[in-house]
Amino acid sequence: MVTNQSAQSKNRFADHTAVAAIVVVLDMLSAQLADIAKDVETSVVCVCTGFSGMSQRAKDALGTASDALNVQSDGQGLDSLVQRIKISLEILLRRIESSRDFSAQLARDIDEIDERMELLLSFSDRLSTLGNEAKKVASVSIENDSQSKDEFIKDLREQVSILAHATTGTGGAIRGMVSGLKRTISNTATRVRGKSNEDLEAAAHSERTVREILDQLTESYARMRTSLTKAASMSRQLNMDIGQAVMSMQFQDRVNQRIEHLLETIEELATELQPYTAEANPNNLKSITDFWMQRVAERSTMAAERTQIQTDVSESDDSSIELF
Amino acid sequence: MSKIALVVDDSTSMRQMVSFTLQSVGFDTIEGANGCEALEVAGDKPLDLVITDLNMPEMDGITLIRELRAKPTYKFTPILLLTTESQDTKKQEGKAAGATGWMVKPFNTDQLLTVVRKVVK
Repeated sequence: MVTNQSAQSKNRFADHTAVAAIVVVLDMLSAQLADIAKDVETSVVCVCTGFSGMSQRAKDALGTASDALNVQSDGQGLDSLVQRIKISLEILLRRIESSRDFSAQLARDIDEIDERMELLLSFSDRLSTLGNEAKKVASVSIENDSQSKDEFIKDLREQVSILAHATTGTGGAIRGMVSGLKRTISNTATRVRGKSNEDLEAAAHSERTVREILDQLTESYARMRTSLTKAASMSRQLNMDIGQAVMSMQFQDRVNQRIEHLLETIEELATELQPYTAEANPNNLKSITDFWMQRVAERSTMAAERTQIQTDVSESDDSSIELF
Repeated sequence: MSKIALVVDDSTSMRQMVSFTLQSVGFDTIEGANGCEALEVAGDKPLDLVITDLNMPEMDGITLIRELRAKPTYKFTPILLLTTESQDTKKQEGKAAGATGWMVKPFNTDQLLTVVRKVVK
């Protein structure tokens, strides 16, 4: 009977010691779980911060590209600039056309002056003819005069002769002057026409060139706008993807809450078991605790776990990199 | 001027996720890790929206809502409870405290924004 009681007492102490060891292990497991929860949260926060940064940079990149294209909120930008250049070019071309018309009219006016000069030439020719006819009359008179010897007739002959010479001289001078003017006017008309045609050709060439450049500019701008629109769409898609990735990280909150609930239960169990530890045999407690710790340690592979277990760890965990 | 939202959760990552979602639609956000912190951060600043967790240390979401509703500034501010809690009694408690709405975690971005658009004028 005494032996039975002693055995029972011994078993009771053994049980209490085992319970006390389990309470120590439960504390360690609680610390492990809390550490896991913290680790997961820290990692998730890092990931979310990275995602937020990516999202922001995508937005910034798009903003910078939009600024570079000077795209306003109303969609106006280079489009408006090209349109203004086209309008200015149209105005310039109209002015050149107007100058060409003016030059053409000037050339026609000069031609008309030329025609009138022709008339002047014919008048001067008639004047010369009249002078020559008068000379003939004067000569005839001189022959008559030598026969009649009349003084009055003599004076008349002289006057007619002088007039005939003057008329011929004046006609010749007018003809010379008009001929010179005609040449000058003709040359001017030629130059005006030539210049007008040159200007028109140069203007047409410039117009083609400017229109080509504007078309290329418009095309380039349209391509850039298209690229920007695509980039905006991709940025939005990227943001959505990031958003979804971030949202999927909510698993951590659920995991942590579940761990917290487990921790609460473990702590309650430890508290429940605490009264039984008072009768634990201190001599055996360490060996039983070490046994459990060793079992947990055998399953552990990471320094973080071993730190929590606090068993005698022979290998070094100071560095995550080691060269041999 | 941007709208301001107060995001309250004891989980840093959850605060970050909710803030990220709200910022994507133009909100400026301020954060608190529990009811006490939230009250301190809010002060008496005008807020367009409050999104709070239910179970938090120091001061829970229900108490926070009561405290906010007691202030004239936040009498009509939309307050959403975002929680993993799904018990109907808790939901009723939140409603009685003055919550504008109740959303269960994990939340969906579109759902959250739809609710936000409904409650924020």
